[in-house]
Formats: sequence, structure tokens, C-alpha cells
Amino acid sequence: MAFTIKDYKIKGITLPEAYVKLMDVTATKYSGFHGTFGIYASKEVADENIANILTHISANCPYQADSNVWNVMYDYMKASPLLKDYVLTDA
Amino acid sequence: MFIKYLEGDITVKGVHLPNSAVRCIDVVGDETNHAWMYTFGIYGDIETSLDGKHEFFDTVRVMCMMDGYQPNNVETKINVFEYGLNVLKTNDERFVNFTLKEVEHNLTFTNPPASGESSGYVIDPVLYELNAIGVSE
Repeated sequence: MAFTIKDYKIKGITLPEAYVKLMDVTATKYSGFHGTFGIYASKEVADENIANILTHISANCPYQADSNVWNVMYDYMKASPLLKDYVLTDA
Repeated sequence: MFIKYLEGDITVKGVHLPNSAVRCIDVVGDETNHAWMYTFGIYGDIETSLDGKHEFFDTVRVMCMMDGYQPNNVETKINVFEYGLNVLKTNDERFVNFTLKEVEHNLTFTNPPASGESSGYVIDPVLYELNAIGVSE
């Protein structure tokens, strides 16, 4: 799972379609979960080499019984205030 | 104060930067053996590189030797940075077509934070070096 951000502003430039994918999830059932998302210039460079990451953003979500934590994390990230001014699309 | 930097066209991590700026963001020197290791930041443009946030797209490191360095001489301190840029431009094929430029930049002299303090303080290598030898504005 991944999503794209239209016209994402980063480091003084604007990426027409930044690619965001979940890198890892840590923590436990009782503390909730912490996810790190990598932002790339495009899907192609993300697939080419993980080191092409431009920056990362994080999200936290609580444990939800019978739910896939990665899916829940995606929903929390996409609802993040950090991204409220952008148009997000599932990739 | 004038900051020396390289400017040119490069693609980094899939991002095309037609006016990218490369400037020194760290230098570790051995004054006895005149050996220096430079870390350069590759920025989208020079303005972004000067905003103090270190928003570089990538970094590149160069190790080189330099004679004539005088610890208490401001000019040689400045030359250390220009020397590193020239070594980078000469030896790394990604930067051979870059041009060496300089931009006037108002540096604010600030003492380094006490041990354990780090909030908001970004070390500018030129600033730090000059401050370390007691040069003030």
C-alpha cells in the first residue's frame, strides 16, 4: 500500500506527484503503534533504491482488534494534519 | 561575509535540480597533517541552503590534503572551504560542469550551545570556524 501527494512542497521545490510508502511499524498492542513513512520523488525511484528517500513523516495509531495495523496506520497518516493541505491518492 | 558554493544541474534521488547549490556543511580538519574531510550538502538552490535548516537532498564527502593552513588566519580558514569545493569539482564527475560562485550572506555570530543543549541551533561551518578563532562581526 502507498499513496501519492500532489504538488508536495519539500526543501524549496515542489514535487508534482510525491510517492509515500510505509517503511516500518513499531511498538505493541498496549502502547499503540508508531509508523514511519518515506517520501520519494516518484514510485520509480522508491522502487529503484530505498536510499532515494527524501524525508520521512510519522504517525501513531492505537491498537484495533481484528484490524491490520498497516491499514490502520495508513488511514491515520492520510488524516494527519501534516497533509491536510494536499490532495492524496491511493497508489 | 561571502559564502563560496558550486552551482549546476544535477538529478538527485529522482529530483531534477537545474540550479542546485553545493556548499560545505561540515569540515573536520587535522591541522598537523593538513588532512581534511569535508561534507557538502546538495540543495535545490543557494537560498534554501542558507536558511539554516539544512534541507539538503543529499550529501557528498571528500577527503583531501591542504598545505598552508594557518589556524589563526581568517583568510586561510575561508580558503579551506573553497579548497574543498575545488577538490569536489575536480574529482567527482557529477560536479565537473558546476561553476564556483559566491553569495553575500549575513552571518549571525552565536556561541555554540552548552553541552546538552541543541534546540534550534544549526552550526554553519564558516560561522563556527570564525567564531572559534574569536572573529566577530
